[in-house]
Amino acid sequence: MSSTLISEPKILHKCVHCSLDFYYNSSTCPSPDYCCYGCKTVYELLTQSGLQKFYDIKSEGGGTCFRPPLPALSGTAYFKHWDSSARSVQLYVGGVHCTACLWLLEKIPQVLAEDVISARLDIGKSLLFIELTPDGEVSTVASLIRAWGYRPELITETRDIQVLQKKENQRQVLELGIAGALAGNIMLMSIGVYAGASGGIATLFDWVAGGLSIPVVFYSGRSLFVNVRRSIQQKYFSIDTPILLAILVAFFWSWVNLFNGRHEVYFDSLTSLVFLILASRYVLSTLRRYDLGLTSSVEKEGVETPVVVGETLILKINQNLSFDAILRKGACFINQAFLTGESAPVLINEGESIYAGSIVMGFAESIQASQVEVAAVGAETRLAKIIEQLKQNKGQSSRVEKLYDKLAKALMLMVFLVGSVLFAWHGFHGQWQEAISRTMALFIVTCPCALAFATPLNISFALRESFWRGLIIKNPDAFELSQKIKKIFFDKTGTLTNSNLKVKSLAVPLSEIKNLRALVSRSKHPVSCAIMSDIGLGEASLASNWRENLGVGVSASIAGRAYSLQKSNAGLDIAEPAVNFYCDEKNLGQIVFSNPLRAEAFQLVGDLHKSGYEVHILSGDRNIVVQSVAKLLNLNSKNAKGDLFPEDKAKCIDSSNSLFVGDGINDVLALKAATLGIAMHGGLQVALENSSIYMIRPDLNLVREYLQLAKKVRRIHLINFIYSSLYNAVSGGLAIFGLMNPLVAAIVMPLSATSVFAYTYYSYRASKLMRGKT
Amino acid sequence: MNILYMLIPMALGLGLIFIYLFIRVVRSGQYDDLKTPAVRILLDEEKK
Repeated sequence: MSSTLISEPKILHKCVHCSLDFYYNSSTCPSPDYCCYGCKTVYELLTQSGLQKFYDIKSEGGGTCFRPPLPALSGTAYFKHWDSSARSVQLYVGGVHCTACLWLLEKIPQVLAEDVISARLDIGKSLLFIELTPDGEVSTVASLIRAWGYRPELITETRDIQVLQKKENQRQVLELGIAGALAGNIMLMSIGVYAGASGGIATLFDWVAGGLSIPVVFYSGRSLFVNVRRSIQQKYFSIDTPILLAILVAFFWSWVNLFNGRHEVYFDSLTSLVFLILASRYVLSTLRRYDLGLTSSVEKEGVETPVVVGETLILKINQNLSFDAILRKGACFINQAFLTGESAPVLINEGESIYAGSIVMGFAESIQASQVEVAAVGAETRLAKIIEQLKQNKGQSSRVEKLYDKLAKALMLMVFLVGSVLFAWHGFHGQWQEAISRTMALFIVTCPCALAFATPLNISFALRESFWRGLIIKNPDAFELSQKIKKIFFDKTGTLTNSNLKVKSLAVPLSEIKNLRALVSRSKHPVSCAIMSDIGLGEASLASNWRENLGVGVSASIAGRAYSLQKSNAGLDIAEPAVNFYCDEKNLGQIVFSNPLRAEAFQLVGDLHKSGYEVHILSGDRNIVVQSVAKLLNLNSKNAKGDLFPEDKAKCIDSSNSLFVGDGINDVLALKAATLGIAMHGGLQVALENSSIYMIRPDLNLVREYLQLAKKVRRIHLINFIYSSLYNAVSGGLAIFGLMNPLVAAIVMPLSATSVFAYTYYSYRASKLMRGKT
Repeated sequence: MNILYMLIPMALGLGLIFIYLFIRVVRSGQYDDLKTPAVRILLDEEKK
C-alpha cells in the first residue's frame, strides 16, 4: 500500500502572525492559520488591543519580521531589582527588526495608558526609551513586550557609559559640522583671492580665513592631537602624525606669511583636509556602530534580566528557555538543537542542566510541568557567552586589514623621509618658500587615507551584506581565503538533505490509520511529526495509557488492545530509518522514512561544477544511499563517499584548498580540518567553535552567495590598492618636482579618497538594489 | 568694492548664527539616532 492512498494532499499555509510558510500539523499548530501556539497568542493579544494595523504595516512591505515569538514566562516577576522611583527607563528590546515593530512598540502608551506616558524606539540600537506615569510599573511594560514576542532587558548600570557614548557621538558630530562650516567659509574667502582680489581686500580675506581656521585646527582637530599624543606615549607610528605635522606646519607658516604681509597662505587647504579626514572617520564609525545590528546589546555587563538566579520556576510544554537552569523535579524532553544540532528531543533527568535556547518538548512521566532552578541568566548563560564570542570576533580586524594598514604606514614613513630630505635640500639652497610648499604638497597629496579607510570599509560592508543575506562571518579572513578553494565537500544528512524526516512509504492497513493517529498525535518527536504530516488530520481513536519512551517508541491501549510504534531494528541512525506498527505483538506494517534532497541542491551543485569547483559528498550514511544521492546530483561516484566516521571525514579533506559545508555535531572535525567551514543552521555552539561561517537560515544557495561575495571583496581590495598606489606615485612625483602646489594637492588629495570610497560604496549599493528587485 | 566691508561681516554673522543653531540642535539630541526617524515618518498618523 502506498502512502499516496491515505495521505491528504499537502497545502502550504501562511501563518497570519509571522508570515512564515508551514505545513499544517495538528500536533504543533492550533489551526491552519497559525504555525504555532505562540503566534496565535500574540495575534489574539494584538487584535484584542486594537493593534491589527501591525499586520497591515507588515504586509505593505514595512515588515521583515520572520521569527515566531517567544512564549512569555508565566508567573515571574520582572525586574525585581529595579529602582522603582525612576520615571524614565531604557529597555533593550531583542527581536526588533522592522517598521511594524517600531509602530507596535511606540503604541505601548495607548495600550498601557495608566503606566506609560511615552515610548520611543531607537531601531538601530534596539533601545526603547520609556517614560512612566507616577504609578507606572516597569514590570507591566516588560510583560506586555514579552507577550508580544520580543525580549525586553532593563538597562541600569550601563547608564553612565551610555551617557558618555552619547556625548562622545555628539562631540564628533559637532567637530565635523564646525570644521565643515568654517572650511566652507574660508573657501569663500580664498576664492576671492584666487579670482584676483588684491590689495587691502585680499589682506582682509586672508586675515578672516586665518581667524576662522583657528577653531578648525584646535577644536575640530582635537582627535588628531589626541591620537598623536597617544602614539608618542605608547611609542608606535600613527598615520595621524604626518597629517597633523603637515597641518601644523601649514598653519604656522601661513600665519608667519600673514604677519609679513605675504599672500602665501594655506588656510583653505588645511581646513578642508581636517574636514575631509573627520568626515571619513565619522562615516566609518557610524558604519561600525551599526555592524550586524548587534550593538550594545543584552549580553553586555550590568543588564538586568527578568529571572533571578536561584529562583524556582515551572516549565511548561513548548516553553523556550531564556536562562540556564538545573532540573529539580519531573524529568522532561527538550529540544536543544540550538546548541547541538540534534533535533531529536533529549531526556533531561533531575539534577541535569538545561541551557537557554532549549525548547521543552514533553515530559517523561504523566506530568504536565517540571520544576527548574535558575542557574544563570543574561550574560552568564551559555548561549550569551557564545554570542559574546561571536561579537568579539566582529571587532577584530582581518589579516588583509592589517596588511593594508602596514602598507599605508610604510608608505607614510617613506613619504615622511622623502619629505624631510626634500625640505632639507631646498632649505640648504636657501629656498625656504619652495621647501615648505613642495614638502607640504607631498604630504598632503600622498595622505594614505584612501587605503587606510577603504580597506576596513570594504570589510565592514561585506560583513554587513553577508549578514543581510543570512551568513554570519566569524573570521573576516574568510573573504581572502576563499580564493584558495578548489574543492567543496558537502555533508549529506542535514546539509544536502532536509533534516526533517519525511515518510517514504507507509504500509499500514487503512482501517488502522485512526489508531496510528491516536498514537502519534500526542508526540512531538520528529518521527511522530513526520507521520502526522503524512497521514494528515482526521478521526483518531480514543487512547488510554499513552506513553512515550525516547529511543524506543510510543505505546497506548486502544479499545482494549495494546498498540505501539517501535523503532525498527534496521536502525534509526542510518539513511532510511523505519518504525514498525504493532498491535498486541503483531506487526501491522512498517513505515519507512527518507531525508529528501533540498530543492536548491541540484542547481547549486551544477553551478559549482560550472565554476570549476570539484564537488564531493562525505557522509556517515550507507554507501548505497550516498551513491544514489550522487547520481541524482550528477556527481562522479568516486567523489561521493559513504560509511564514514567523523574522523574519516576529516581525513578525506585536503586542508589547503577545501571548503566544507556541514551541519554540526558529526561534522565538527571536518569543519575544523577544512580551509574554511560553513556550518548550516542548527548547532550554533559547535559550529561557531569550529567553522568560519555560519548560516542563519538553512539555504544551500548561501554557499554560492558567499563565494560570489568573497570574490567581490577581493576585487574591490585589489582595485583600490592599485588605484591608490598609482595615484600616489604620480601625484607624489609631481609634488617633489614642484609641479603641484599645496592648494592643488589639497584639492586632488580628497579626490583619490573619495573615488576609492565611492567605488567601494557603490559596489555594495548596486548589489543591494539588485536584491531589492528579486 | 567697498560694499565688501559690509558684506563680509554679514556673511560671517549668518554663518555664526547657523553654527550656533547647529550646536544647539546637536546638543538637543537630534543627531543621536539617525535611523529611526527615517522609518518613523513612513507610518501614518492615526485619525482620532
